Amino acid sequence: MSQESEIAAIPGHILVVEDEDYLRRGLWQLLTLESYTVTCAEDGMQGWELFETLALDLVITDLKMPRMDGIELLQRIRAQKPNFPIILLTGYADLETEPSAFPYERCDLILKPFDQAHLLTSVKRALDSPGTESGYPVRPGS
Amino acid sequence: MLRSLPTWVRLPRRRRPYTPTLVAPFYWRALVALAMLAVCAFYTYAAAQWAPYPGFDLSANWVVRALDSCEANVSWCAANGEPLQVGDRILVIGDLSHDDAMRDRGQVPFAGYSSGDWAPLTVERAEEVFTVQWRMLGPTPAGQWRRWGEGLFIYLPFWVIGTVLLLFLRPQDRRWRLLILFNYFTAFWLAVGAFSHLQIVYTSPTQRALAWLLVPVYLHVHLVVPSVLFPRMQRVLLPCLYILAAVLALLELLQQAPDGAYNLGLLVAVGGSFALLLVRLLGRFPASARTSVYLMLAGIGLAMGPGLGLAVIPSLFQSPLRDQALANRIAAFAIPLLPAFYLYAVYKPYLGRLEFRFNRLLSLYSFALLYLTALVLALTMAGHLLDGGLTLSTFIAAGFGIAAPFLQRGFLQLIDQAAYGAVPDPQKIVYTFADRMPSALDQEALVTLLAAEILPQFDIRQSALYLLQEDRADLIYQANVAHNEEHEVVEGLQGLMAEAERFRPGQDVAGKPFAWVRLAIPLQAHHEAIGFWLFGQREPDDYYPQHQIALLKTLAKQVAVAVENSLLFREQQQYTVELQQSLDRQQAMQTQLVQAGKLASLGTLVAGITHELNNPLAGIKLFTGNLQAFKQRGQLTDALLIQALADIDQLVDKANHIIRHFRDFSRRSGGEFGAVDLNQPVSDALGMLEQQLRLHNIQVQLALGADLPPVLGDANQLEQVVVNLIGNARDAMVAPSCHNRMLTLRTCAMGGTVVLEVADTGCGIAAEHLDKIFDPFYTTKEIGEGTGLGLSISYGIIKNHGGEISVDSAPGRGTTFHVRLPVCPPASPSTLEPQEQGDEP
Repeated sequence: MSQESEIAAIPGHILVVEDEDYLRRGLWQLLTLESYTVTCAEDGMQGWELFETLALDLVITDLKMPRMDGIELLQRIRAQKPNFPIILLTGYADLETEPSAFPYERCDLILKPFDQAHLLTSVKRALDSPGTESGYPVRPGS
Repeated sequence: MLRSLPTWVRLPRRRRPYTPTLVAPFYWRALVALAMLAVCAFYTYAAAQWAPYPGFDLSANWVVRALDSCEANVSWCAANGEPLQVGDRILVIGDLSHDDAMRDRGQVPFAGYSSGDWAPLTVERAEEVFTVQWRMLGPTPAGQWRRWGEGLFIYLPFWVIGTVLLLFLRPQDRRWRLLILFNYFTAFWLAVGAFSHLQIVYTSPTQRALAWLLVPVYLHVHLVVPSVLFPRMQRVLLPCLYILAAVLALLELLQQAPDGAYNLGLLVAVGGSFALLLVRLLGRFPASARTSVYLMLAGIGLAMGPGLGLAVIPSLFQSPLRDQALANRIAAFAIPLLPAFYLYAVYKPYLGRLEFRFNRLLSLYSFALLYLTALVLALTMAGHLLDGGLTLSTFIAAGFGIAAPFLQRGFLQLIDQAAYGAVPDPQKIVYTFADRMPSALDQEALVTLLAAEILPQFDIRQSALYLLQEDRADLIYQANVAHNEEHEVVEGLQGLMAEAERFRPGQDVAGKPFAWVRLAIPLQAHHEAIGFWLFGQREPDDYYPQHQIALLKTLAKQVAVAVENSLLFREQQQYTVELQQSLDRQQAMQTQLVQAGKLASLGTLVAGITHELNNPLAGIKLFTGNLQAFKQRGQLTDALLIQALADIDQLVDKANHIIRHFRDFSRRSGGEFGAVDLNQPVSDALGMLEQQLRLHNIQVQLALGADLPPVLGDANQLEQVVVNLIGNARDAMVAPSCHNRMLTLRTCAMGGTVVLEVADTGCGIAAEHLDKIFDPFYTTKEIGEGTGLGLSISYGIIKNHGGEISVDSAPGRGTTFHVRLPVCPPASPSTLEPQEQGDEP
């Protein structure tokens, strides 16, 4: 279920792309509690549509999804905004043991199941580091 | 193994390679032999043709021994009027007195008197001396023939044996030279000595000189033959003896030696030789030498026995023989036995196939002479003691005739005993072998039979049995044999090939591998050599006579059959064991293959499964974390709590379901067959893979037939088949170029079967791959992506269920797998297992 919020983007607007609804719900709860603005999408395709329409500060996406997976979404986003921060969630443990297999920069890889604190730290770091190269405003509205 | 034989295994009938020592060529040796004969014959010739012949024979002391009969020479007899009698002693012949003749033995009595001349004789008879005019008779043809006969007969045997040795026998070593010397010297001495009383061509001094020379020769021979005695003493003693003898011989030739001294020489020569032979019978001399000594003593005894017996026994009973001439002939005929036995004793191992014939010839000849001697003596005794007439003589002769075969058999055994030691009884051996061999199915039993029962009967101490394999020879057993290195064995057996089935005298092979082998008999089966049976030392003298070789060959044939039987038996056993092992291995491999296939299927599932498990876990963690966060901030409402707990509960169930299914699938198949509704494994497999299919945007179309008849099978295995087929379909459709991604699963009942169709819209399978896709490890996928086992396993499982699996495919048009399984017969509803009701995907 997508749940959009038009609350002023403080401290940031995050898009959560996740095909499992309970994870979407849980992430929405968590990030909302931390005062982030959260928008949810069911799959990569929907996420991409939202990315194109919304002014976002961070995308948290699952890797394996129907219609369009996380990697494709990441590639599309990066093609448009090369330095845009992205956090990938994945259940594939292989990526942890072989980090070199994942050649994307400014992109945190978080393995499921994850620790809330870990996720929040990662989110905070992604949002705090300014997208200097693209000049993309980290906090649109500020 | 047995059929293809090493190339070096042939059975040639080659002569033993012989490298001659420093020996003159054959024609030289033949010349020597002829010269020897010529020298001997010269004396005979001189005695027969030149020597004056007065019509009577004189002894060395000029006593008349025999007078020619008057019947053949009537006019001569009438002229002489029989003035001389046997026993008369002649003192003077013409101008030559007896004393002068004794002083100068070069003087020939009756020299210068030819046939028809009158010679004045001074005769002493019963201490009365008178003079007669004696008319010379000869030489008459009859007298000449007699002298030729007597002369030749006495030395020819020694010359013949010496010549046989010189020309034909090997090895040509010291013993050979000495034995030739012995025979030729004896022949020479006899040729000269036979007519020494005639004193023609200096025979008398020559005879005496030769008598002295016989001493070192005889002693030397008996110091070396049959075995070397006192080698150190020989080196000093023999040269001295030869020199001394030469000096004495020279003195005799010059007629300076004391009269009659040469008799001492003869005594020393004969007595010393006899003593040297006897010494070898005293302890600590090898048994082989003893055998030769027995044979040589037998030769001496048999050569001298008849003559001595015929001379001594009648004189003991003071009953002269009726026919002295016959006795003399018997004695003369016995003489050749001495050199013959000597030759046999020493050269027995080298006579080859002639050995046994020679043995029998000697035995029969000796027996005939002994028999005749005994008969003559018996008849004489009978005539003397019982004054028996013709009747008694006839009875005695008949008795002798009846006893002859038994006596002969006994005598032959006696000679065999002396020549060969133990005489194995072929009948007993063959019985033992034939009786025990059929039960000797393994090699150990066979070896025990040979070593414990057969070989002891031959008195064989050393023996070995080799089996020939392709490039090596396996030792089956050996007794009292030094170990040989592998290469030595091959080399040695190669060497033995040339000498197979023949006795090998040991001297010329010393130092080579298998020098101990005296006899090698190939074991032959189907005209091919499969092994070698080697024999070495045996009692008493390591010799293997021909007839025993024949017996051993017969045994070897049986042993070959037994060995081959044992090999075949062992092969059979081994084959059975291998077959069983192969079956076990195959079963284990099949099980492993199924398991490997399952693991391979699992491998493809693992990604999806971890993903699926990690998702609910992540959800649970997220919800619990969130609850804590809400609580900390005091924002935790009941609604939130209830919702979160419900979510968590659901997630745990989800995770549990995944795990349970995972476990069910990977559980090793127990092979329990039961009635299965085919829709069940299809649904379960789809449930496991649904997530992945969804991830790859593959649409699933299900057309499961309602009320399918059950099939007899293992639900777990059938699910594996479906998983494999779905996995294949998925892999065929994941290519980016594949836009239409549709998986169709269809089940229906058709006749007596239930049909499952798994159809994809993927890239299809090329025709050249189509007939191989069910082969194990056949895969068109990249390395690391597929094991190539999935379809093979599926094929095996379906075959195992009595069903069929087929494929229908074309590149670009997609692939359809058809699985047909026979309907479960209604007789076995009791085996119907309660199927686990999985959650619908």
